Amino acid sequence: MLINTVILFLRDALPIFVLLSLLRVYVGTPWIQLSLGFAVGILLAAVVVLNQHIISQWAFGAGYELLKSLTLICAYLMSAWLVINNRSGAFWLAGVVVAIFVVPRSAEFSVFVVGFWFQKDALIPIVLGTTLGLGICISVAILLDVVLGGVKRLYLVRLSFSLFIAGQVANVVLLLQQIDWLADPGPLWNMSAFVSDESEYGHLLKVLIGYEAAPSSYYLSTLFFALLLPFVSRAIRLSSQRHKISNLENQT
Amino acid sequence: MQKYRYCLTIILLIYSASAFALPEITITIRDHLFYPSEVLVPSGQKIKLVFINQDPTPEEIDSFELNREKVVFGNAKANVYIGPLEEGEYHFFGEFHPSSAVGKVIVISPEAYANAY
Repeated sequence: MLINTVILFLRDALPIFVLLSLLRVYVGTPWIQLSLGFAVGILLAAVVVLNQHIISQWAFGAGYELLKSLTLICAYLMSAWLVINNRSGAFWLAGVVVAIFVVPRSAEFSVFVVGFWFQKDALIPIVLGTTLGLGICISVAILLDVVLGGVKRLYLVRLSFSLFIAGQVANVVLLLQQIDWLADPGPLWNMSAFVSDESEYGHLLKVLIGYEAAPSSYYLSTLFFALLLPFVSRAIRLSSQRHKISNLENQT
Repeated sequence: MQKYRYCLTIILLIYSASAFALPEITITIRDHLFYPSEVLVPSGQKIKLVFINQDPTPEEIDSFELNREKVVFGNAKANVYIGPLEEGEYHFFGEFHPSSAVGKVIVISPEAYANAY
């Protein structure tokens, strides 16, 4: 139960901590907005957990996957906006991204904790596992903050942030395939012999860049377009801005 | 407005028809164990796995090989669609009880599957 709690904590909580770190470094969001976003996310997750049976039965039993897909797409679109547009001053938007992103992740972990909280022999391993998992997540978040905070070239931070959000939204493909809303064309290749999904590196790479040992063409194309979209949109926006400025200079 | 209603009805019918036509395999979760723990499925076909959790506690079905992850609440059921798959063995386990709740999907050729049943 102890190891299991740590693994579940890493799977569900690590993406949240990575997101907090990236938003702090890339957008420069103060902790107050991030904490408020986190708190709102936890409250919304509590509502989801309290209504878990109803939500899970929506759309012929596909409710939970649809809710998770919706939150991931919303969080992605808002994060992409941060990449496309001028990121300064968008602190509240960063807070909203955190709130939306936290909902499915913390709800999943809460299902585990709430389900086993009242078992007398499970309490101590869960508390210990949560403490260990929390410690690892905080360590990774601080490490990421320090490493990316020291990077002088902003485009590298932007790329890291974009890779993370693209990796997260690509999970929508897996969720929709699971509920038969999307066909499963099968894997293009299998790299499990090098880095398997269940290994520590597999878990970490999954969180950071959406790594899949055996990705399907749908998964890869979603990941690719989700990564490309904010950069192309940003390039178009900057180009049109330059065009406007040069037109104004020509007029004067 | 009427046109949209017809379109929506047709879409829903098509969606429902495909769901009903899929082969269905039921797996029961009891005392944190899967019954049956091994299921045979034909290759190249989409399958609907129905997990019925008879335990009061939730279980999360997880499979790295099948790329599936689904919470089944206590005394509830959940559906997971898999495939079309190539022949081989695909393991799955209960994330909340990984030492006891283990199972596998064995994918065999349609001919072998027809002979088995």
